[in-house]
Amino acid sequence: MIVFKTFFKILKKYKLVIAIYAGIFFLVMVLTGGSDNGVESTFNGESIDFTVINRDGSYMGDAIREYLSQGNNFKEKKDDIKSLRNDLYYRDIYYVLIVPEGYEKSVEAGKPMELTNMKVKASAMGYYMDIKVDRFVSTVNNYIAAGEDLQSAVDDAMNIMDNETEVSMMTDNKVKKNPDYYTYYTVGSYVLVSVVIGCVAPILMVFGKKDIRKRITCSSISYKSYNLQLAAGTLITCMAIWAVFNLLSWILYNGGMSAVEFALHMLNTLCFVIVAMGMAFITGSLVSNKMIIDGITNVLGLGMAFLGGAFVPLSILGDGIKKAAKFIPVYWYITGTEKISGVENTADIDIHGIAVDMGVQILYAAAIFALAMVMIKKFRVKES
Amino acid sequence: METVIKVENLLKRYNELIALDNFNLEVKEGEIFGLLGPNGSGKSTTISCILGLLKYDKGNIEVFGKKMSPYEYDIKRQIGVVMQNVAVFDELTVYENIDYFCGLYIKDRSLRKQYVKEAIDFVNLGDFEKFVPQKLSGGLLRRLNIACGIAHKPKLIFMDEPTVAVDPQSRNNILEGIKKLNSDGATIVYTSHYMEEVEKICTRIAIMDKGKNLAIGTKEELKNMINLGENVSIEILDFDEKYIQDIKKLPNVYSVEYVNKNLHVKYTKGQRNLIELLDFLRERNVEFGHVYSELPTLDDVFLEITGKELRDGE
Repeated sequence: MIVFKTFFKILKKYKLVIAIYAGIFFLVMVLTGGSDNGVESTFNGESIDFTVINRDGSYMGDAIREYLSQGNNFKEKKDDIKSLRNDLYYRDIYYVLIVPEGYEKSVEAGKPMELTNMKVKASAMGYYMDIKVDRFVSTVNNYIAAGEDLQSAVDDAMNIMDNETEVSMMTDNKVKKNPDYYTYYTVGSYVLVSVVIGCVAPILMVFGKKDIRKRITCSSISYKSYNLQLAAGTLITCMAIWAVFNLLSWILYNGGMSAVEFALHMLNTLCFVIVAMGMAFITGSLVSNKMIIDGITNVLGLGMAFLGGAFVPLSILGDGIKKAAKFIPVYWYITGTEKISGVENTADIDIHGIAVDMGVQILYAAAIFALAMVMIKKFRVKES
Repeated sequence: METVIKVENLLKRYNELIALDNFNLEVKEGEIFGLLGPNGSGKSTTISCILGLLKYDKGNIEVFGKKMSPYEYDIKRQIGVVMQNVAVFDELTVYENIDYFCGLYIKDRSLRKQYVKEAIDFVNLGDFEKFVPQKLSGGLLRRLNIACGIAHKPKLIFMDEPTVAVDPQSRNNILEGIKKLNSDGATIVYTSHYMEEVEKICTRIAIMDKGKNLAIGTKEELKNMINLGENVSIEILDFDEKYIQDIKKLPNVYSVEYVNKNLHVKYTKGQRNLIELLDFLRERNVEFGHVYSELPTLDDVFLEITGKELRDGE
């Protein structure tokens, strides 16, 4: 069992790689954990911090302040330009409106004076507040022009502009609300591919080096025993990664998912780990440079995760991308994960759909292994 | 002595190129057998065919009296290989590397431990057991390569240029080690393009070129095969080059040249050559200093047989 033992001796040297990928995984989990997989169910309007300096001390000035306060956040500030600029700079407020002396009289006269404002440069919020102020002032002006006194004009303007915009959420029935562990399993596809290839491929590469292979071929160990020991090392490593991944899920989401759901997730991840093992096998057997393996790991891991819907929900991907994604094993893993996650009772489980998703993954794995065999044979013949 | 390796009429083609052309070879037990030949002469192909690394088109290879094939694991168990390229795991320490390669042959753990220790002592790497190969110098790396090839105590060892890029001190250690292995009972097949190494340690030598075995024998036998006698060098500070033509007329003289205040005379076979040359100089009152006379070297033999300088080719 010397080959088998040596496999793990070399694996030990890649502790750092495993730790890095585990670290990235947890970072991604933390960053995406609170987003509920991008499916929002409520709407909250955004309020803008602002102040009004009423140098006129008039009813009109107060009315503008009151109107702007609807949905926004008024902050009392001193009438000191330098200090106001500082507040804007430090984003304590985003908008300052200065009502000049004699402003109310000018409104009553039907010729409103120019209002001065200060806002955060290139901020959309400031322009939004400008529009609000203009609309309010022109509405008051219209009422006055119609013959109302200032107070009635202001009150009427306040009344008609008090309507809050109703926001209704456009919901897509296809997007169900996924449980927390859904993100764990989808983002996990990236981690599984990266860790499996990152751990297994370099070891297979080391054993596959031309000179080492030659020496092993000269030795008295049989091809069968040698290949079996390497295969056992690869398989056990992949199974350990799979087990740890699922164990972690069990620890983190214990109670959050049913036993059936957990078992199905385990099966789905197992199929996916076999696919990743195939990728590690083909990479480790054909590539002879560790740096290239690292590159392939990142390209395959991230590329497939993005295209397959690990980071962006499949439901919001375009039809073209979805069609292309079907040629990537991650897609089938993710669709499987979607079907398994959040099923409340066993009768609702789409067993047929899940079986198809897992079956396609296994077919992918078989195809990758077959391709690897053909390529390795060609490569070795060419090499000799 | 029993025959350890017997190669008969071996034919190996790489498409149109004939790498081995009805090649024959016999290595006896206890020999250090040198395989000499320029680049592309077929040395490595021969070794690869014997080890079962390459398929051949025709012929027969027997090792330890049995037909050799890639699946003859009992035969392979008795063979050690020290490749020209250092073939070790960069990720493992010196000890772990030797243990791994020894473990491909020896399953018993305690026996393996003992063998690994002995191999480490043999190549004098005791102080570097826990070093990874990247931390070793070129010479130490070569020694590790040798230890990996011989740790399982094989009866037959193939050494393919084991001293390439090694400093003189390490080279001497390695050569002494090879002699020690041989005196402990191992038969060794040794390839090198350092002629003096082959001359120093090999008991028999085969000279190969273009896939053929051109000559085979002990170094004395090989030297006798060619029509060269001794080489004489005489230090002469003031030499009139008009005498060169006269020296050429002396018996058995093959070539004469005067370079860097030294007269070099090569002889074909014959006796009293040096005495006659010195008499010739004395008669003409030519004053001379040091006189050197040496028998032809393997270099001369190689050049005579193949028409090539071995070092240039390699």
